[in-house]
Amino acid sequence: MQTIRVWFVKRDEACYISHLDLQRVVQRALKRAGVPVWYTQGFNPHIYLTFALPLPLGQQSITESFDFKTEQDRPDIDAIYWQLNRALPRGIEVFAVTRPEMGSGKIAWARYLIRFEGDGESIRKKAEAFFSRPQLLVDKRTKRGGIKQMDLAPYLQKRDWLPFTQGACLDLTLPAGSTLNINPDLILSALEQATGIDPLDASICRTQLLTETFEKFR
Amino acid sequence: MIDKKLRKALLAVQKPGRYTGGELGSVYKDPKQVECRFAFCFPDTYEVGMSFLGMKVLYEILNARENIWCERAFMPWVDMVEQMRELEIPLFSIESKTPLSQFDIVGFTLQYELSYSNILAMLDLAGIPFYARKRGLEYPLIVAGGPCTCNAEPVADFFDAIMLGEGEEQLPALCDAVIDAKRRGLSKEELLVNLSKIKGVYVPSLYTVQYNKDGTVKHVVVHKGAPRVIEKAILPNFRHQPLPTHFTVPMVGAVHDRAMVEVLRGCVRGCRFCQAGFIYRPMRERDADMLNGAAQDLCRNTGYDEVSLTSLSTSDHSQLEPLLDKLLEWTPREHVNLALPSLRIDNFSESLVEKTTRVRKSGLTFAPEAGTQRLRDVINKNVTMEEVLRSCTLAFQNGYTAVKLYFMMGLPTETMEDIKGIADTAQAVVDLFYSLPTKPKGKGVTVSISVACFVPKPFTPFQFAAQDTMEQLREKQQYLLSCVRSKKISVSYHDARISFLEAVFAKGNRKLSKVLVEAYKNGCCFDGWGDLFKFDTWVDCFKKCGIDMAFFANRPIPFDEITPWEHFSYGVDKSFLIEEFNRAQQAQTTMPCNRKCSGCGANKLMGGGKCVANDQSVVR
Repeated sequence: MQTIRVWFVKRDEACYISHLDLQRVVQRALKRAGVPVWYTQGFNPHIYLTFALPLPLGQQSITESFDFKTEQDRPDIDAIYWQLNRALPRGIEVFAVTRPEMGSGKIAWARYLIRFEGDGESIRKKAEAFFSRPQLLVDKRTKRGGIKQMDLAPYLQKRDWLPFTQGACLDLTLPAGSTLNINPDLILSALEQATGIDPLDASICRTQLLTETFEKFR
Repeated sequence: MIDKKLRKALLAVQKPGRYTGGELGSVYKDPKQVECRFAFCFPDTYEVGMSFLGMKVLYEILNARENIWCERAFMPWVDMVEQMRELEIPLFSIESKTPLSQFDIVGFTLQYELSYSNILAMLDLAGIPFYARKRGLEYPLIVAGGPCTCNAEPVADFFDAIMLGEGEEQLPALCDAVIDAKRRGLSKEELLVNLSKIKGVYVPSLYTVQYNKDGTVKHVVVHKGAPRVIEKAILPNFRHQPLPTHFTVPMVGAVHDRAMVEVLRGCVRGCRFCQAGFIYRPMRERDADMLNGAAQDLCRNTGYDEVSLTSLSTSDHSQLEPLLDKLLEWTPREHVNLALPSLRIDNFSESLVEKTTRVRKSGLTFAPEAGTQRLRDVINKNVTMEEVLRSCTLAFQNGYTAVKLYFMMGLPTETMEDIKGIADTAQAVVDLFYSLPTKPKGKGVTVSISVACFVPKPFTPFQFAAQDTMEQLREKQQYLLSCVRSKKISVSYHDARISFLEAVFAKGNRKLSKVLVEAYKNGCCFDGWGDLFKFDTWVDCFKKCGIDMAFFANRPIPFDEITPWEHFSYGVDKSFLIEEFNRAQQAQTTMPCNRKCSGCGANKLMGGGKCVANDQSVVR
């Protein structure tokens, strides 16, 4: 049995597929693609799937991945790539099929491109003034449904503005993974409260997943 | 395609995936390359609409045509409606996000009387005037199809054309007429006259209804050479009619999210309350090899892991067991489960149970419909208590422990004795379970009885019957609860108010259109969704419009009265319905059509002669 990692892009309409629905979409795509998938051997056999890091609803990504197991010892990686691309809905495209080198527990950072529409110069100024504050307290929802106050300031250090002529584009790296995960939506809503920049004028795209030592997650 | 306004709305609502399309199997075309853009509208949520097989059938047929692009639209859920109003987003198709007002044809399917208010909501959200007479060529042609068109009169004023019967050939013909009108620059009046010449197409504006003083129909005046009686469209060769094999696969979970193959159409049984059993006559089967091939193609094309053999009565297919054998050759290997809804108690055989349980074990559902043999004979549900118990014995021996029984109350000639019979039937099933030495070990039994309120429907023998009043129905519900003693039996029943409104619209006439508009303006919407149903508002609107609800629901119709649906024909003769009504009063049963022809008249639809449902050359 082999584990296969499938890398895909999620954009346009597909941004609105929730994580739960995406699992079903991928299961059906694997089935439709005729990929030799291993099923769990229990009372209710199903395809065993794991996603590296769920993507919040409405965001794009060019670095998503899921793992599945195959019965074959020498799976045809190219065939899986082509077959899956024919079986997925609009907005989801496979760009690579690999053998996993790291477990998803290794993920510690995620990199995002946040593109703002409008007057780039003014947006940058306003946003920088906000990001440079010594303390940035926001309310963050905890897993148990409660609300916890946290300071964002220490996590906003890895940021860079790209030289865009239209609008503004922020390259931001945030903690990600199971221990501490900061959703860029949280930053955009804090930014809106402080500066009035409409989060709907910004689109978020996840571009990289990184380990603790800023190695690319593979 | 998703602009900022829409993005804002999508981020504010539950399950935005309902509105974004792009599912596997959804069809995208270049609008410049097509001559006819058709918006297929389902007047309920995405989850309900995407469970509907008819939409998948017609979507595939229309999109197979190079010059037609069929897209889908659903009734947005209340949170989305709010966003769309606030942000001024007109109702759009989920594929290309094109506003409905820019389509050539907007087609609604009428599946349920209580979704009529949603049709108005969808037209309103699209910025399209309700009444057909107020729309010129600057608006799309608004049409309807589906089972409720058999009495389309309550909504007739809203539609330019209404399609009766089977849409597989009729709907493309309607699109062709629209394309032809566009090419030749015909006026709307000319187009409507052309549409009225298509088999089964009813153009309401070509018919004027005159009423008697007592509110009944006096006469229907026909204009411009439209047919006096509109006879439903029917496929000439259902046995070899291709099945859809490329479903759009929903990503937001649909209610019925599985592959479906329609094994037969119509029903041989002739249960006297059942509208589907009469309007889809005659019963026709599909070829077993074709079904098996389509099921396999469909599973492979969609990735579904369950295939359902769908019809009104699947076990009446003469080749069901050979078909199951064929399906079982590949389904386990391809990790596909088989589901068989609509089994009949009287031919629920041991090998059938064995074949379905080989894949999955879940609850079983039977529909005795009435609690005593007398009443079952009245409604012509030819099922005996012995058959119920025999089927349950089989099921229990095969490891099933949950049985669901469907009943109705308020049926013609019903007495309290019949209501008690419902509880007795359930108790007999419980007792049976504990009497079996071979019952599943260490498990209890659950018998759920679900009791609907009888709604008299057009084109059934019971169309002449009155519905029980809400008070009578509630009294019967209370009595039933008092008759149930075992904790193993759980009882659920329908809201009598919903059934009452359903009866009003089922047997209504054209005067009801203004009530619908009034109710919609007063906030009625999603009436089929219990918690959003505003019964008191409906009652007020009927009063305001001066229309008596009981006139439609609780009044028996004399045989010689002209019904609002008298100018439609579904093949079955009115004289046959009267005969069946009279037999019901005497608790006399009628044989299923495949065993003995009762001469209902549906054979005329296929050109007369011997009815296909009674074709003895088919091995049974």
